[in-house]
Amino acid sequence: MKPILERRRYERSPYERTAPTGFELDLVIPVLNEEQRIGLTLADIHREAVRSDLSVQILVVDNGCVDGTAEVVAQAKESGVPVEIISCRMRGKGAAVRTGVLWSAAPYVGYTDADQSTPPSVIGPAIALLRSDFEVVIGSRRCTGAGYAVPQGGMRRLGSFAFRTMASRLSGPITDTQCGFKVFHSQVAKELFATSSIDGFAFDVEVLARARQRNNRMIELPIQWSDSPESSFRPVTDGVRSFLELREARRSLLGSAPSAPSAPSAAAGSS
Amino acid sequence: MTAGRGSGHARVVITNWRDRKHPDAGGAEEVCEQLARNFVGRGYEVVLLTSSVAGERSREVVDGYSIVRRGGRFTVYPWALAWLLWNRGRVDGIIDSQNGIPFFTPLAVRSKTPVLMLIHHVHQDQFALYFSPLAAKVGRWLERRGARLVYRNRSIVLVSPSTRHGARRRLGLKGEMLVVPPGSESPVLPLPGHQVRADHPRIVCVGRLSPHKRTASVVGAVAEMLDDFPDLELHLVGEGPDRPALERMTADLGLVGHVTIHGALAPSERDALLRTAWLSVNASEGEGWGLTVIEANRLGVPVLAYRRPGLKDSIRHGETGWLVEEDRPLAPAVSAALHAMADRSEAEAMGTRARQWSSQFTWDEMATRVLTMLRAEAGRLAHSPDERRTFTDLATVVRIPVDLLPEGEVPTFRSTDRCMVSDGELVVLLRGADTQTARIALRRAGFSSAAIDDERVQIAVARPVDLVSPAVSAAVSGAPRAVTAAGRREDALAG
Repeated sequence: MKPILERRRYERSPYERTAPTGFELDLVIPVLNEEQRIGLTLADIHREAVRSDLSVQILVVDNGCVDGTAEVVAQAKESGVPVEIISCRMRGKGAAVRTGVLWSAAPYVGYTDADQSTPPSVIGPAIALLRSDFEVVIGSRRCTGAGYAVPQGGMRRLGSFAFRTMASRLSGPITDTQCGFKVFHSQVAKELFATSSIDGFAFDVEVLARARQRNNRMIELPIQWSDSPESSFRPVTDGVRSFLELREARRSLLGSAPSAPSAPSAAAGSS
Repeated sequence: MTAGRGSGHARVVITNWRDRKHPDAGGAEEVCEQLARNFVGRGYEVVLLTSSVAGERSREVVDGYSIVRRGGRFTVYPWALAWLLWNRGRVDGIIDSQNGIPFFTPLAVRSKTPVLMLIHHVHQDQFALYFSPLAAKVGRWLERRGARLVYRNRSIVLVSPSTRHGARRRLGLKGEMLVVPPGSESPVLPLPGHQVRADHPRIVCVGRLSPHKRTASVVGAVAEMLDDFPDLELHLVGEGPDRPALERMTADLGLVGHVTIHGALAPSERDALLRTAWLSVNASEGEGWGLTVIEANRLGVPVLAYRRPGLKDSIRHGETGWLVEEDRPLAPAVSAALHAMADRSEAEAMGTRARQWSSQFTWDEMATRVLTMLRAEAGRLAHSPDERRTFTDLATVVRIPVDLLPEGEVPTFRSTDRCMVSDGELVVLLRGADTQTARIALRRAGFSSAAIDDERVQIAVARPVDLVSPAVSAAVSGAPRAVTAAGRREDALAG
């Protein structure tokens, strides 16, 4: 029987871009059949960037869509939204985000979800934190000042609690590893993602644990989260898989760093 | 699977619930017949397994292929399986045409025999329209879970990107999928100037008169437009259960003289009428692809339809016809399109694009691609399950100026990729490649790193239209859009 997760080391793509594109932040959005939602999300992020005078390019990563997502993105680009679309053959949110991060050529790179569960208004404060020398800014639904504009269902919350309890052994005092919004100094992100191996939803835990190992300067940013009823996360299938990925992440991290991880230098709430 | 194997020819079996002689035959039957005929022309022995038709023989040879008719609407399925089981040693490949319920042919043939399920459209919502609640539930189960259990990872051919979307998302089928639009037999009308359209606005609609096609809404729209177009004509070509109701509606709305119901016409008569149309309208709830759209386009007639499955793939909005958004009424949209067509030069440009777009869809092309996929499936099954390549639904379109082609050698791609030259560019659709691995595929095909990194080379995620037509889509939709009054009307339609 095939193992559920194949042990695999990500190899740096020989086609990584190096030429700067002139944008300050590349915001990666992994997509799987988001034809209905991606158009509005792109427009809203662009509107926010213009309103707050931010230099943001959106990098959509197609993870195997069978709908018109690519068409909608092309239309958005025609209408003036700075957006590029690339694709990732390897299935999984982690694999898609990794592809986008490695493809990015801006000084800052981050990722968010296609369903706008994180409001675009946090992009400005996140960039401000990066400019003030934090290397990793972690969107959080649980730090002081955060909350749920639209709450999650009971079962999902229970699953999250169990996952958080297990993940905290790797991620340390970070209050929320699974919020879909994080931004990084590009060089840091590329180093973290190039050595990451989790392709599924639990990839954040591995990336943050690696950042802890490396003593990157991290900070949490409070998010007003709106839970999306049409999330592509399937509670049972993806939930079980995420727990297995956590185990895999743990093995992978122990293999890469024999010494115990140290506490992050700045993991306090930004309130 | 190769033609001319051993002592005889390779034998391809096509299973379909009806054949062309069935009174209710439609597009799916035409596809099966055209594939059968085309395969025979390429040296294959072809058998079409289908249901009995009153007055027709249970076995006959038509155009070189054999038709075996057994069973009725429901019993044709066990009959076909029994035939395959009996002949399993002499079957080299199967095209299993699914019309709601697939034939489950993998149950009856050897595990290494390649089977391609051919899906026209997804029927999950239609079972309830035709059957009792229990029977509808069984039908939905067979199309979805039953098919998933039996076909597992076997490859699937779909007639449009919309059907692929339904098969993957609604049916949850697992096999590798190839989109192959059907061809058309209608002649492509020669260049503009030859067009003999009617002097006054005329709409011709071709298709079965059944509830699913919503022809009544077109008749209703005509009634609303008479103030704007007092000499408007609507011609309906086709038969079906809705005919009496449509005739009553025509009389009740006082449209006698404006609406003519012709019934079924011979192809030559149908084409002679269709080419006089200003516009064709398809108000259907959805199609697999839209054979009638392509037939109208071939005669230079644009088609207006709602943005619904299949139709959104066969119509290029503003280029070869118009797509109306779901929540919009039909009459204003048709009226705007007729106003656009009233402009002779606009009509001629539209007609030219429609002909250009439709002329690429041929039965020969469809047969070539289906056979290529059948061979690829045979190759896949020849490996043990652990050795089989993983696949993805992604595809990448690469456009390379021809001056960057490697000197002295012809670039070679996989048989299931598509490769064509258009407007001084080599256009390649790389199936299963993402935008990163596309570069590796180009290297393998013989391109140097310098050529691949050339700034004129475009590497883009394939859109649904690229799966249908990677080269022509660029030529048609890449045409600059003039901001004319007609253009603004188009935008009003889209909005």
